[in-house]
Amino acid sequence: MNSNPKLRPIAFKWHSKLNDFMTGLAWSPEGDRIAVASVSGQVAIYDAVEGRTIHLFEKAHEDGCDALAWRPDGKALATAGRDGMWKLWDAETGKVLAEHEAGALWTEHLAWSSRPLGDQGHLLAVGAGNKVTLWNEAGESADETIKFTKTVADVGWILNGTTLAVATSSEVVVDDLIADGEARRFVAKDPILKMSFSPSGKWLMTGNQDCSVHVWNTDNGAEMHMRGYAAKVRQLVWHRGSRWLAAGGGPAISVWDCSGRGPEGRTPTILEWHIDQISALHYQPEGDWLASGARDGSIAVWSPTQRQAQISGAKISSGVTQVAWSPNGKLLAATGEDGEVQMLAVE
Amino acid sequence: MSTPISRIPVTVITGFLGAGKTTLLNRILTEKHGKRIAVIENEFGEIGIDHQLVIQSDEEIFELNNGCICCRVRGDLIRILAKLSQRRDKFDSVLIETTGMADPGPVAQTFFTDEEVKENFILDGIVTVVDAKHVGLHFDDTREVREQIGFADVILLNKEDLVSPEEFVKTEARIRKMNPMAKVYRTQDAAIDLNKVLDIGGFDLKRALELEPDFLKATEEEHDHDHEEHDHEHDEHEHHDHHHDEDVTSVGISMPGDLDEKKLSDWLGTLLRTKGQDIFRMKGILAVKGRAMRFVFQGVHMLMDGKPDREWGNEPRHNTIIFIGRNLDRKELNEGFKACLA
Repeated sequence: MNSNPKLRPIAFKWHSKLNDFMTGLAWSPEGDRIAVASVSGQVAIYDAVEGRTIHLFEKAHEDGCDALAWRPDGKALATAGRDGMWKLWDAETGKVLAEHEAGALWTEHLAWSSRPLGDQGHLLAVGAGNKVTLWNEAGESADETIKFTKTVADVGWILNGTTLAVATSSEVVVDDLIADGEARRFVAKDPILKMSFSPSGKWLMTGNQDCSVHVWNTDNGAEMHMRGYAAKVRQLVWHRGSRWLAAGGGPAISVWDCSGRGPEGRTPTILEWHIDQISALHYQPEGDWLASGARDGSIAVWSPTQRQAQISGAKISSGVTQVAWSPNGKLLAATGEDGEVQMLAVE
Repeated sequence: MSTPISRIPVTVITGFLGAGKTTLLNRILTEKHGKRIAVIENEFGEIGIDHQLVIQSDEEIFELNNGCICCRVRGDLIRILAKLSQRRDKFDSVLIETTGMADPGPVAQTFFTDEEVKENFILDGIVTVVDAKHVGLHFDDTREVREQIGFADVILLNKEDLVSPEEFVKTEARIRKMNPMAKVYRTQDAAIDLNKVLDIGGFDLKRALELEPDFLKATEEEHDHDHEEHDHEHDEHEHHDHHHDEDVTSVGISMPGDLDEKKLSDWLGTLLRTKGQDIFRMKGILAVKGRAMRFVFQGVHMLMDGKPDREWGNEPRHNTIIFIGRNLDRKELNEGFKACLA
C-alpha cells in the first residue's frame, strides 16, 4: 500500500458478522437501518447507528440470498435467492408478507421503481433466468412478465423512475412503462455483466465478460469501446452530477469525465492505492466522495479533486464485497467475503 | 484477502441425445461418496435429476478476441461458476452436462482463458458417453459426435448389451482410432466405477505423467497400426464416407533423438496458429537438446500448457506426441516434427 502521510483515519462505529460471503447490502430510504444478505441464505437488518440486530433470518433463502431491496416506504424489504423465490418481509415485525416463485432457480435481481406507477404504486422488478416479472407494493403480481432471449444480467429503474432498464448478456432494453412507445434496445457485441446509466440518462455503460467497458450516448446512439482493463469491470458508479464515472477492473480506479461529448478521446484519472483488485465502489448520494473497497480488505475514501486516497485505515478481515454510503453520506457500510459487516463514520 | 485455495475439479459430460449422459449423472449423484456436487445442466434431460444443486444454463458462446475460433468460451459457465465460487463451504466437485449438440471446445477453453474461472476451478476431464447401438448412424453425419469423441479423456461405450460382439468391436476400434488418448470403457446403463470418471486429471501435466505407460503404449500401437492399416482404412473411407475430409483422427508421433528448441517452438507456434482450430487435443513428452529435463505439454486448440517435469536420467531420450483433430495431415505433421530434430 502506498504510504500517504496525509491519510486521515476512518472512524470505526460497529461491526457484526454473518457466516459467509456477503452478497447484499442496502440502506433503508430513511437511513436508519441497513439490510445485509449472505450466500448462505442469511438476511439481517441492523440499526444503522448502534449496530443492534433488529432481525436475523437464518435461512431467508435456501442455498443463498443474492439480492435485497427496500420498498421505497422503508417498511418492507424484498429479498431474492438461489431457491427460485423472492420474498417480501415486514421490516418491523420480521414477518413474511409475500413469497413467490420467480421463474428460475437463481433469482438474482430486484429493483423497486423510484416513482409510483399510477394505482399500482411502486413496482418491484424481479429478474430470474431470462425473465423479469413485476409485482406491486403488497407483493402481488402486477401481471407482467417480460421474457428475454438471454439470461438477465442486471435490472434497474432509470430516468423518471418509471422506466425499466434490463440488461441481458446480449443487449440492454429500456422501456418507459407509463409512456407509449417502443422499448429502446442497445445491442452489445460482448456479453454484459453489469449495466450503469448516468443519473441524467444520457450515458449507458456496460462492464463485459471480456474485461471491456462499452459506452452508449443514448441521445445520438454513438458508441465507444474501452479495452485494457486488467479484470472484469463489475463496478461502474456515477457521481450524482452525471459528470464522473468511476470504474473498477483491476487494482486501480479509473474516473472518466463524461461532461459534454463524453469520455471519448479523454484520459481517465487513475486512482491508485489499493493493492488487490477493486471489488466495491460507491459515490455519496448527495456528496462528492467516492468510497472504494478491494479484495485485500482495504477500504478508502477519495475526494473528487485529489488523486490520493484521503481517508482510510479501515480493513475488513477478508475481501470487501460491497460498500454503501448512508443517504446523508455520513456513514459508510461495508461487507466482506467472510460475512463481516462494518459501519464506518466519515466526518 | 483472496488466499490460494485448492481449485474445484470440474467434469464435463458430453454425448449425443439418448446416449446415457443423464443416467451417468444420476449415478454419480446418487452414489455414496460424501461429495458435495453442483450440477450445471444445459439440457432439460431425458430423465429428471433429483438433486438439490442443479443450475440450468443456456449455451452462450462468445469470442474473446474478435472472431478467433480458439478464443470461443462459454459466457453462461463463467457467470455461473463465479457465483458458485462465492461460497466458503465450496463444492467438492462440479459436473457440467452439455447438450448433445454442444461443441466441447468452448467449454474446455473457458477453463484455460478466463482468469476468474482459472482461479477457482480446474477442468478435470471430459467424459463422453457413446451409444454403442446407434453411434454408427451418427459417426458420419453428425460432426458433434466426432468432436465429442475427439475431445474426450474418458469414453463410455454405453448400451453394450444392445449390440452384437462383432458390431461392438468394430465401433470400439473406430473410436480408438479417432482418439487413442482416451480411456474407453464398456458399460451398461452407464454403470462405472466413479474413480474412472472423476478426479482423473485429464488436463494435468503431472497426471499426464502418471498415465505415461498406457499413453506411450497407445501411441506406439496406434503408430504401428497405422502403417499397416492405413491403406486399407483409406479404401474403406473412399467407398463409404463422403465426409472423409472432416473426419476426426489422431496422429501419433514417436521418435528418438533430441529436438532443437528454436525449431520446435517455431514449428509448434506456426502449427497452432494455422491449424489450431482443427486440433482438438494434444499431449506430448519431448527431449530438447541441452535440457536435462523432459518437457511435457498438453493443449486444447491453440491453447498450450507445458513445462519441464523431471530428468531423463538413464532413460533413452525419446519424443512422443499425439494430436487429435479433424483434417489432420499425417505426413505433414510427421515431416514437420522430424525437421525439428537437432
